[in-house]
Amino acid sequence: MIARWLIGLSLGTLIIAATSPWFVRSYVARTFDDVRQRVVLSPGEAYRWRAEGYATTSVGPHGMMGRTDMPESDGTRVLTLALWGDSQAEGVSVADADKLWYQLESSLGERGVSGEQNGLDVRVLPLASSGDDAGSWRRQMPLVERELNVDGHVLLLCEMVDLMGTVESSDAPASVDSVDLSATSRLANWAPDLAIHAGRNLLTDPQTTERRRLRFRVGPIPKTAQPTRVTFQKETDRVAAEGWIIDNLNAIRAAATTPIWIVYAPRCPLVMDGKLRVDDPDDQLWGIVERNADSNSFEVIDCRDTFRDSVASGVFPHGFHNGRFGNGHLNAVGYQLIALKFAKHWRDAESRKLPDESPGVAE
Amino acid sequence: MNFTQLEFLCFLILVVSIAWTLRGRVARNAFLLLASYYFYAYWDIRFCGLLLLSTAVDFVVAKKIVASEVHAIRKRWLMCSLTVNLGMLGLFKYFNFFLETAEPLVRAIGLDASTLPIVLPVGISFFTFQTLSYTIDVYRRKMKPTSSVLDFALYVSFFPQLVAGPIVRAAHLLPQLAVTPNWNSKRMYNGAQQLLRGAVKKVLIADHLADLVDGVFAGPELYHPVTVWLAVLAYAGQIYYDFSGYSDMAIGIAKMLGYRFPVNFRHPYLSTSVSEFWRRWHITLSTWLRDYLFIPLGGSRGTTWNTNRNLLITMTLGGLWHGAALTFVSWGVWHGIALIVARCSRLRLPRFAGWLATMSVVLFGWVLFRATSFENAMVIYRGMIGRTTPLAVPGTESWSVAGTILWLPPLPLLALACMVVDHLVWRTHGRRWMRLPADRWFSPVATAMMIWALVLYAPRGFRPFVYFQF
Repeated sequence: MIARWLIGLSLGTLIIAATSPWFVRSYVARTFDDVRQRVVLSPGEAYRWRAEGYATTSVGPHGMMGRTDMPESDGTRVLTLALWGDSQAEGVSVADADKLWYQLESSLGERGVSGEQNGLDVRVLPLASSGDDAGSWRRQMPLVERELNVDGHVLLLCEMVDLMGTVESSDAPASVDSVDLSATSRLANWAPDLAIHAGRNLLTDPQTTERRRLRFRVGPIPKTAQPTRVTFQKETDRVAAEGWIIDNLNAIRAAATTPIWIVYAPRCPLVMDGKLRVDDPDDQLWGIVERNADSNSFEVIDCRDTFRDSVASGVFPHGFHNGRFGNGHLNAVGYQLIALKFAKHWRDAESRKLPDESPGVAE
Repeated sequence: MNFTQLEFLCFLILVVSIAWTLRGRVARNAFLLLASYYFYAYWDIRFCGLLLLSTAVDFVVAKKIVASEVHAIRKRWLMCSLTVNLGMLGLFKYFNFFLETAEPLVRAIGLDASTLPIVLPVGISFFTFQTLSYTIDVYRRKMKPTSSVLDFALYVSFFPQLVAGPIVRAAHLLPQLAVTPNWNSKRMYNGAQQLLRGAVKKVLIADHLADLVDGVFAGPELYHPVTVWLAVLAYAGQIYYDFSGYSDMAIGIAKMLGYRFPVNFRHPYLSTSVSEFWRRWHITLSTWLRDYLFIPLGGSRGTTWNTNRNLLITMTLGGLWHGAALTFVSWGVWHGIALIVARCSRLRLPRFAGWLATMSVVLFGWVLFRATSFENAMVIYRGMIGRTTPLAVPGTESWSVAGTILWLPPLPLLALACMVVDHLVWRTHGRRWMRLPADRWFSPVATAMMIWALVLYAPRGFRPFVYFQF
């Protein structure tokens, strides 16, 4: 009986292990990238996402999500852009060919039906990572300009909160010794995904993803309201927000020597509680960025109207129809709209300049 | 404390272990009573006062009823119990509802119609019905009152069935509490298996279906009619697997502690008539309403009109029992009308046609049950018949059925498939198919798969049982 149960339990576990890749995300080992001076997913690995969209992303050099090569220039006009952002720019929910970096290359390069290059030879380096904000972009910009010959930076800004962190006085690059390669990362080298996922589910709080704390105290437990969005309750809040944003913009400008494009693509329009919300609650904050763009030589591109037009025609740029319809991360349509908007902005700017004066274009 | 929380697992292991090590019925029952009050206090310790009040009133009232042979006195004591229990239910569950409903009238006579900040105590509908059944049975001389306040207090507060049933009658549970159960490893194994099965039903089927349901019901006008239909079907599955999962867990836990609870569900979606549906759905509530409401109203003994009136009253109050909202009342009325129509027409449909008609009635009713308002229900009905303009799914044609289904998340779709398979297999194999005897080779395989699946595939985020709100 005991032997039968041991064999049976093992067999049941094997069946779950064999079928788990359909439903369980992968846990990829992390490594320290010398160029970016940060921990990134290990190049050559495949990152399987299963929460929203069901794509698998190839991890390329320097932890680039979806780009597995560092293409060499063929000697003609080449433009290398670094793409920064958070999980919205990272795009693990969609296939590599639908990700923003690829769509930007396609739109700027005007790829033909069979993939041939008709326009600029553009290479976009997807350097965005989930959870990143202005602080992390700023730290990496000078490094990649120097090491990867980046000609310009594209910042995909989806949440204004990414521009509202405090600007640290010291930006010393991290060394490998000071970087915490987390336990999960070390585990990923040898433990199967389902074991890590099971451990994570058991040990972390499903709401906050912090370490789970069991409560045995009797109720009632007072609920603490968590503010989810910056609101201007008072004039002082607005002034403070403006200060943070301007500080971050100045710090970004100081970190980079090449042109910077800020692309604003918030979750707007948005389906929330079954209602379509067209207005952007961060409109005032974005206004601060727009007002301060010229003084920092930024170019700003606002995608909100493009998104609104798309929704008006019945297609949402966000969400995956899986209970997060019109909400959640950008989908393939969203990335395409952003890329087309960026390409249009680029061409409009080009048409106002001589060809060789284009920012960041090298012969 | 929710049955699917890790805290509950720790609590259960501790309670079961200690309960079986305690010698003597009194010590065991006292410990279980303490554990049950802790279980209830986990939500809000103030709720325990209601449990105590209900327990004290009905224990005393039953004694007083038995002590007198004078009908008027007996009746007066029964009224006392009804007033306290239904008054408690009315205040905590229905006061704001009635005030909101009668707001224009209240304002018209110059009174303030602002609602009270009342928190609904978890499971109040269940334990008030349990205690009422005890007093009424004593009044009807169907059972003798217990002399042990400990046993009675445990009967009222016994944690497996305290917050969402099954509604266990005193005549069923009190005799079991009056003796010390014997250890039985087979019963323990069966109880643990039923607990696991209930958790799978709740976490892996109901909660995943809820993902689909919540999204669509929040904005039905955005979705393709096929998606709206799937969401309504998914809600039927969600509420069944949520509640029957809870019942399975409660029955399993009781078994692990050495007690038997009545069956609460028998695959109601296989019913071929609405009356059969009510013999399979929430059986302990249906029989409670039959014995303590429908029959006292006159049952089916009088004229056809009287019987129909009694049916309608019973079902309407059954709807109101579920929740303080007009949508719940309408759901009860809808089922009452369906029962009356079926009864009056005396139509004998072929099995499949009967099943189809029953499912139509049930699904139509679930829309009312789930909708947040009548307006919301109407939008869902319009969505079901394609009277909305859904938005396109990226990469698909707006009205492509295949595209719409393919874009749905796989786990809710899988849960929906599990629901269909479960019902089809149950139809041919009955209760045998869910059993996992310890000496069969597939039992450990299925057990391992269930445990792993619970750990790996539980949706992130906490979802309380649907019936906790009732």
